[in-house]
Order: sequence, then C-alpha cells, then structure tokens
Amino acid sequence: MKRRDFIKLSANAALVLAFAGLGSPLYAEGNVTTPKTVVNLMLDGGPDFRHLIVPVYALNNNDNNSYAAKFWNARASLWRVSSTDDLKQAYSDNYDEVIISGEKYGILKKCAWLKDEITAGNVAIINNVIASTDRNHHHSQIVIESGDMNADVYNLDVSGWAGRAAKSLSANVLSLSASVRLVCNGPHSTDVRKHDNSCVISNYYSRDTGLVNYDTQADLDEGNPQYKWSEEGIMSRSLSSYYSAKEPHVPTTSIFRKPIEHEIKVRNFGIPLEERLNETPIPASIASLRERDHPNELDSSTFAHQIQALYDSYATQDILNMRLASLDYTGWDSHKNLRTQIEPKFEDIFGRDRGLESLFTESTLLKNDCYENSVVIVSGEFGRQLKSNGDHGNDHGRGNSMLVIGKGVNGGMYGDPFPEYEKEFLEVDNKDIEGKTSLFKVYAEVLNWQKNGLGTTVFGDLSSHDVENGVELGSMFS
Amino acid sequence: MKFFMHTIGFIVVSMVMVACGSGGGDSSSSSTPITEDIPVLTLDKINNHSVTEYFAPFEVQTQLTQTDTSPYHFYVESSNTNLIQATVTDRGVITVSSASGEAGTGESNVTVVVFTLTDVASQSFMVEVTPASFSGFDPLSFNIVDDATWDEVAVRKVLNTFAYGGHATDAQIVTWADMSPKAAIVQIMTFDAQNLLLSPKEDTLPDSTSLETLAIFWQTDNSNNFLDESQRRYFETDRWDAPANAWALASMTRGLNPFLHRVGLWETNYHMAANQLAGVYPLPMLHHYDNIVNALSQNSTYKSVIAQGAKNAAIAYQYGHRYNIFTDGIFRGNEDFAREFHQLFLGILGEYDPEYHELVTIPNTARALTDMQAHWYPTEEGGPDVEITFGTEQHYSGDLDILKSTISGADASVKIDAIASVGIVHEESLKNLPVTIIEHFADNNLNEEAKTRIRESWRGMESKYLLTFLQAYAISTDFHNPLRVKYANSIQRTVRVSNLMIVDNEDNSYRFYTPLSRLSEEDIFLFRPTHDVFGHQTSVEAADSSDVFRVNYNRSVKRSYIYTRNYYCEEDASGSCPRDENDVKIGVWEKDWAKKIPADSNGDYLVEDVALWLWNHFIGDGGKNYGVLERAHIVALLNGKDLGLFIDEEKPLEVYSLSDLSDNITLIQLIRDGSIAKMDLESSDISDRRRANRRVGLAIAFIVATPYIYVQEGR
Repeated sequence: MKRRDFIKLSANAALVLAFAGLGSPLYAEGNVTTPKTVVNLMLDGGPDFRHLIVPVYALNNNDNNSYAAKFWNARASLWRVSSTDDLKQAYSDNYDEVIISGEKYGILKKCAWLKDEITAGNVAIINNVIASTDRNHHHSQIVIESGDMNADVYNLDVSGWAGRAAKSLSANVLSLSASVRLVCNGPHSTDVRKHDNSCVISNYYSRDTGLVNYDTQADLDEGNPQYKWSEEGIMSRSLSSYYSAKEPHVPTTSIFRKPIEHEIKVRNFGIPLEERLNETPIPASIASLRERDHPNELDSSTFAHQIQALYDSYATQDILNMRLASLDYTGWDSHKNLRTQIEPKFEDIFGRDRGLESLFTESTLLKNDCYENSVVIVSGEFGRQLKSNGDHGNDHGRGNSMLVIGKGVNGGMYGDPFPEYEKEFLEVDNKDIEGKTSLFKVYAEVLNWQKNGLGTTVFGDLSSHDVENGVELGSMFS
Repeated sequence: MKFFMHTIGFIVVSMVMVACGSGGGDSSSSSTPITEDIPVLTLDKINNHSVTEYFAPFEVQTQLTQTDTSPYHFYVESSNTNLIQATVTDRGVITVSSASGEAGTGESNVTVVVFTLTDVASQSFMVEVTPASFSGFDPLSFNIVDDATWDEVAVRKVLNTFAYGGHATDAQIVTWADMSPKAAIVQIMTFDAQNLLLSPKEDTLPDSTSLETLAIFWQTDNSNNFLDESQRRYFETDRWDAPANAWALASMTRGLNPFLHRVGLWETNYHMAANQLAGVYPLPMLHHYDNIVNALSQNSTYKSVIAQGAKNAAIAYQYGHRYNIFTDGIFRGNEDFAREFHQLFLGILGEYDPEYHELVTIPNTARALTDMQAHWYPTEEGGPDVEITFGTEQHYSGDLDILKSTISGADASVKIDAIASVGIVHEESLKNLPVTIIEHFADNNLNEEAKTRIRESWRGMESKYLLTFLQAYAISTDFHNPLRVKYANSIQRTVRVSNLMIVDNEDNSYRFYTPLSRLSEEDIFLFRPTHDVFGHQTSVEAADSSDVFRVNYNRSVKRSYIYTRNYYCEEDASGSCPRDENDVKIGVWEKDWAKKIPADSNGDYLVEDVALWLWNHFIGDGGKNYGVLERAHIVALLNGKDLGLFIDEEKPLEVYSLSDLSDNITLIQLIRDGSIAKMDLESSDISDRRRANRRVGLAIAFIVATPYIYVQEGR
C-alpha cells in the first residue's frame, strides 16, 4: 500500500480535519476573504508601557505638583538626569505628541508607525489591566496564557486560551515563537489538567516546514538507480514507511502519540506549504528586517524571524487553517538600563518600516483584507513599579497597559492611563499601577469579535472580573 | 566510601561505610590511629578517591565535623549477602551485629570514629575509597524497588535519565543489575570528577570537575589529549562558545563523569541559570559552572551549593546587583536578583505572606546584596572579573528582616549564606524545590502521592544533599513506575544520542558527534537558556514542538552521515585523500562499533543480535517497544537497504504494515533470512568493515528518529 493510501485510512479525524481545504487556487489569487484572525504578541519580562506613552512634560510646565512633573521625577533615574529642565528636555528629545481620546500624550519617537495607527484610530490602549496579582514572572505568564487565575506555577501541562479558542473554532493556532508557548496549548479531551496540541502548528521555520522526502518515483520514472544507494533515499523511504505503518498502532492515549502526530502534521502540511511559498517570495521589506547592517534590521533577529513566519502564515492561511497566531518578544525585564534595554524593542515592533508596519503593509498587498480582519494583542505578564530604581531601571509591579491593534478596532484610551491619585505614590518605593480591569476580559472581548460568545467559551464566566469604571470594553469593536 | 576487598580464599567481602545526613566532606583529618598494631585507613577527605593495599584486620577512621549531629552508619556486605551494620552516634559507642560471623567493634568520641573489622585473616586486599554518598543506603521517604525490579532495564533507565546514557560497559550494567539497587546506585551516581565504572578511563585526564581546567587541557598538545590539533582552538577560554564546547566534551569523554555534568548543566542552565546573551562573558560563566560543580563534588550541603551560585560573578553580571550599594543611608540598586534568589534558587514565591514578601523580604534582600564588586573589563584588558569581591564599605551592614528571620552579616557573602540557610528549610522551598528538581530530571507526570514522597524525602534530610536525594529517588518505586513519563528536551536527547555514539575517546578526536551543532539546528544553545534566567527549553516544550520533531527526523534522512560516517581521511592540497596499495583511502580515524557491540559465542555479528543490541543501547527499554515493525526496518537497514528495497527492489515505495510483516510467510522468511546474515564488523578487509559500520549507522539513524527516542516510560 502506498503512503498516501495509508494516510487516508489511518490519520485520525482531528488531523484529517486540519488538512481540509489544502491549497485552494482562489487563495493563491488573493480572492479568499481573510478569516478573523487574532495575533497574540507576548512581551516577556514585564514591559513598561509607561515608557511608550507618557504624560506630556511641556517646557512651560512649572507646576511641580502636576502629575506630569511627579511622573517624570519619579522616573528620573531612567534618564540619568535629575533636574526638571533636563527631564523636560528628555521628554522633548524622545517623545512626539499624539492625541488619544481627545487628550494629548507623548509617544516614543521611535514608534512612528504606532503613532500613525493611534492617530488613525486603530489602536485601543487599555490601561490598568491586571491578571496575576503577584510579581512573579513565571507564575504571571502562566496565569495570563492559561487564562486561569489559579494556575499552578509548577504545572505547564495545561491548556492556553488561544489553544482553546482554536479548538472551539475547529481551526489551528500557529506557534510562531521559537518554542511553543503555553497560550497555544489546546485542551485535552478528557483531562482538564492536561493539554493536547493537535490544534497547534509550529511554524517558526515557515519556509522549512516539511519532511525531507527523497523522490524515488522520479528515479524510477527515469530509470535512475540512484535511489538504491542514496542514503537519503534509503532513510527517507525507511522512516516514511515506518511512520505510516506505525500510526494505526499507537493509541491516542499513548505517551508515544505526540511524535506520531507531529509526523502526520509536518508531512502533510509540508508539501502544500512549500509549493505555495515557492510562489510567494519573501518581500524585500520583510527580508530587510533580518538583513545584517540594513537600516531596517531589527534588534531582535528572533522577532524578525517571527514577522516573516507570520507573513508566510498569512500567505498559507487556508492550508494552515490559521485563526490565531502566537508570537513573543523576550527581554522586557528592565531592572537596569531601561532605555537601552527596551527602546530598541519598542522600535522593532512599532517603528517606521519595522516589524508590524512591514508585516501589515506586505500582508495587505498579499491579501487586501488582511489588516481589516486581524487584531494584534500586545501585552506582558505585569507592569513595573511607579518609581524607577537606582540602577536606571524599574522593578516588578502588577498593573499595566496593553494594546489591541487592528483596522477593525475602535482606537482610544480605555481607562485612565495616569490617574491623579497616583501622585502621592510616585515617590514611594514599591508602589505600582493599580489593576482595575481584568486582562482576561480584554482577551475575551477580542475573541468575541472573532466569534460571538467565544470569549465565554474560552474563559468561562468572567462576571466576577472587574472592569475600570467608565470603561466599555465592548466598544472596542462596535 | 566503598571498600573493595579482593581477598584470597573463600571469603569475598566488601564494606561500605555510609553516613546519613552528614556530609563530613568538608572535614580534614588529623586523626591518629587508636590502635597502633593494626593498619588504619584514614579518610582525609570523603571526597578523595584512593585505592590502597591493606592487610586485615584494619580500622576505618574518619572525623566528624563539629556540626555533625546525625548518626553515621557503617555497613559491611559480604558475598553471601550477610550484612553487618554499625551505628555510631556523635558520642556513642559503635555496636555491630553480624549474621555471618564477621564481627566488628569500634568506638567513637566527639571527633573520631573507628570501626575495626577484626575477624578477617591477615590477607592482602585492595581498599578503594570513593566519595559515594552515604545516602545510597538511606531511602529517605522513598520506597526502594525490589531486587527483581532492579534489572538491566532499570539500570539503563537510570543511566539514560541521569547520565546521558553513560559509558558503562554492558558487563558493568549487568553487574549493577545483579547488585542490590542501594549498592549499585552509589556507584552509578557520584559527584566525583571521574567515575570509572560509569565512564571507563582510557587516557590520563585531569582529575578535575572544572570545565576551565578541562578546556585548558584540551587546548594543549599533552600526549593524553585525544583531541585532534584542528579542534583544540575551540577550547580557548575566552571564546564565547568555550563553556558549551567544554561542557559537551566533558559530558562525552570517557573517563570523566556524565552524571556530574548532567547535574552541572541543570544548575547553570536551568535552576541557577546565567545567560551569555545577557552579557555574561565566557570566563565568569565557566567559573559559575565550576564553583557550583566543585561545591557539589565537595559534598557540600545544597544550601551551600545554592549560596555559591548566588555568590558567583556571572549572576551579578546577569542581574546587575553588582551595582547595588548602600551609602549615606540610601540604597541604590535593583531588586531583580533579590526576587529571583528566592523564587528560582530556593523555590520561594512569597505565597506564605505575599505583602510581606514584596514589601519586606525582597527590598531587604536587595540590601543584603550590596557591595558585591565585579568589574567589567574588555577582553584585551583581561576580561571581566571572574569572581566577586565582597566589600563592606558600601554594604548594608545592619541586620535585615528576610523571610521573617533576622539576617546578619558583615558582607553580602555572609548574608547570602544566612538567607540560604533560612530559605532551604522554608515551607515554600520544602514544597517546591524538590518537586522542581524531580520534574526536571525524571518525571513530567508526577501525581500527588509521588509529590508527597518527594517532599517528605527532601524535608526529612536534616542537612540536604542533592546527591543523597537523587540517589534515593533513582532507585525508588516512584522512578521505576509505569506512570512515570519523561519527555526528553533537545539537550537530553541529543547529548544522550551523541554519548551513545562514542565507542572510545578516539571518536571524540574530531568532535564528529558533538551535540552542539545538532542543538543549534533545534535553536538550543548551551549557556544561553531560551527563557533567559528561567532556564532552557523544557521537556514539555520539546515534546510539543513539531519543529523539534521535524529537525530530528530530517537529520536522520538528510544528514544521516552523522550516524553513518565510518572513516575520516585528511585531504592533501589537491583535495585528495591518500590511498593504500589497494586503492583504499587511508583514514586517520575509523569507526569501530566492534569495540562496543558484542559478538556471539562464535565470534560472529548476526544482524538480529546487532539490531537488538542497538535498540537497547539507544532506547534502553529492554526491547519492550522493539516490535515487528521496528525489527523489520532495522534488519533491512543492517543489510544496507530500506525495508521496501530489501523486500522488493522493484517496489521500493511499498509500505509494509504490521499485519503484512506478521502474517505474510514470504515476508517473514525474508526478514528471517536478513536477520541471520553476518555483519563484517571485524573483517580483515577495511572496506568491508567500513561498510558494516555504515550499516550500523543507518540503523542508528532510524532508531533515533522513532517515537521512542522522545519519551521514556518509567517501567
């Protein structure tokens, strides 16, 4: 029996479902509507969004009791200056002004694309969000990725909210980070304490996805005997044949099942992906993100890699049945030298001709409704303390801000970014942003945009979770 | 300490002295023999390894340290399994009982313990002292497997889990399986620089646990340096890849100790991770590793090992607390390591009192970490400081409230020791740390009952020794349990496969089998953890990644030469290899699996035997998963073909199902014929030998791409 016949007979139902609609010709012509797609970008380490968007510190602001003055003084060590004039100069040198929900703020100059998107109303900035109530990186990451406030810090064998969403949508979540993050983990069919990743596709190596398959048939057709002695031919046929024959005899409950499912997935996606991407060159602007010494080269080649992987995933979205994608960017734990540590990262993501701008410019050329039908969530596990430390950085806090970006988003401030009551805390050690809005509620709202009711399906009943007074998360997409 | 007595006559006795809960390793001996007229074995340091000729009767003498409070246990085990046990308390008198008539007497005072074996005739025998932990005989709260369960498969599972497969001979594995698990495990798992049973010696190597020392040795033209000259530059200690290169070779070199370096990697790439990507230079990283491993090998308590990690310069560079100072009544610095010292090193997250932990313990720990000086200099100026200088002028000298204890000390070093002492017995640490350790090494499927035993075992050690803990667990019913599931992360899998490819140190000479390039294909770089300080790729991450699977699978197909390479010749200027009189290329290195794979009683290498040996060598499941399909494919490959080609050259793409191979008489006969073919592993014809070794490589390329390489069952 030939390999393809084996697959037809033996691949389990979920995997067969995953391959449905492989390689539609319409898709290649750009005539298929992009399904609503959620892209989750996790910033590991506790990103300081208050370095991205700040209160305006005008040169003529002489009110030392103003929020702006106290804010900038509390964070003076980040700028290695102490005088008010120097802080005002730091503001002037490093921030542009932007109007958000009718108020004027400063936005890091290096993030010019984000400023444009905010101005265009495509960015919801949700402030004072919180999930984990502790300041432990690892635990807080598990909490926000699992969507479980009671997540066990030592148990990674649980499902993530993106995986649950994908499962509910009968679709796949694309893991584009170097490792599969917990957020991607799908639910286990029988044991809620475990996970099942049949709905997860690792696509970090988006252009090297398949299994090496020696073309024995070509040799046979040509009468070329090379297939008999080629080690590649021998091993290719050997392993391909073995896995085909083995699959029906490894139960889905077996601990050896995961490699079997990987083999099926990789083998079956590999060929159509390769064929599609062979006809889809990497756009120059995206290639430049990884090009050494190019002006647009990103600080993080790993993030650049993921941007390309996401572009490729959009290009093959029908094959992959992608409805969610997971990216990450590490290194936001800004205890020391915050500026040199995180400003290049912000620029990588939000800068002119950098990550997201290149991605959506090119993806929209590929599929003109790509940006309209995508939402990018940018968040981290917690925020930083209000006052900077003695090492030109700042230590762990709890509450934070997050961004929801997309053409279908109603942009603006959701929650008070700089509440007046904080003024008394800005000079006190260890104080942090008060969390008022459940981060899960924001995620759930995004999922509801994707499919009505999906948020509840994935997160359960969130009625006990808070939302800051005056904030209507539902209006993000109305 | 273990004493092997090769006696003359009918009695063969071995004696193992075991102390429970007491290191003694830091003690120095100035003891004097109590009895003048009989030889005395003086144990200068428990860590020392020595082989000495002794004449019975003799005495064993060691010192208790002033802090020792736990009893020492002495065991004498004879070939007829009679056991003599002597328990000595600090000020007590040894009492010895014997079922076999051998008797021992002894006495102790505050500092000296003497045990005298009096009934052995005055015969010459060798006494070998190894730094085996006393814990081998202390099951802690674990249930120890019975002798029937402790078989060759069980030994191989221990080796695969804790020692990257090890380099023990097949005979040694059988010997361990025939011993009691308690006796075997203290031989398998040691923290010595060299463990000659686990990794037999071929060359004279530095008797050192230090990667820096080994790296320097591997740079040299020392006649015992097996590395080809072309490879030595990779061990220059200012190279960024020096720590990874040195670690990989240390783990793979026969004559060293892969278990020790397995633990060393856990400590430095997971538990107390520093990261070169965060700017930790090679030499500070090497010192980070060496200091920790040295503490382990000195039988230091685990709190001391953790404290040592916290005092290493690499950690101060990583987290930046080398800038923490206290001057003019003001603290300047950050709280990064102040938090992670508790969370990552000790397993204390602050659940005991979150508000207190955040507002008191962490800020105060940041103050405890003041005036830890490590200065950065460019490489041309000698590079960054490799060790911390603990100052007092800018140190917060007062007492600090940390973990609801008062922490005192004139400098950060003293305070770190004090925090570690409090932390290691903190309820959260007792709950979390031991489970974290076992999950990393051995089990991704711990149930609550197993966790309870793990925690109780850890808690029960008055002084906590990692070796004691791991030894007891490795022979426990929790480890040798069908419910245990351990997914291999990329490091565990690739290093194990690399190790098992090594038949002798000549195989290391060109570093053909180094796991580092394989790991880089899987985006893993040693000493550059994927999760920064939170450690490297986890087992679950590797298991969930179809990328990891794909890369490993494709390696066996596209780059099978990694496994099938059977000789290496050095090309001349024209790009040609020299040839012998038969026009065969002259190799400077030849693969020789015959050194490892046993021939049958006729001196033949039957395909069937080689196939099963290879399966057990690389998978180590006793053939449990070596089924009809696996056998058929491996038999075919050992005959030089894939199964399709082997069965019908005209139909190479045919897939043969399990039922085909089980029921079809023709196919059964073909496989049977193939299985009794002889392999030319010892042929006098070098071309035949090379061909046979290549075929072994094909089989290995297959085996290491099967599902069974990715996950281990407990039993």
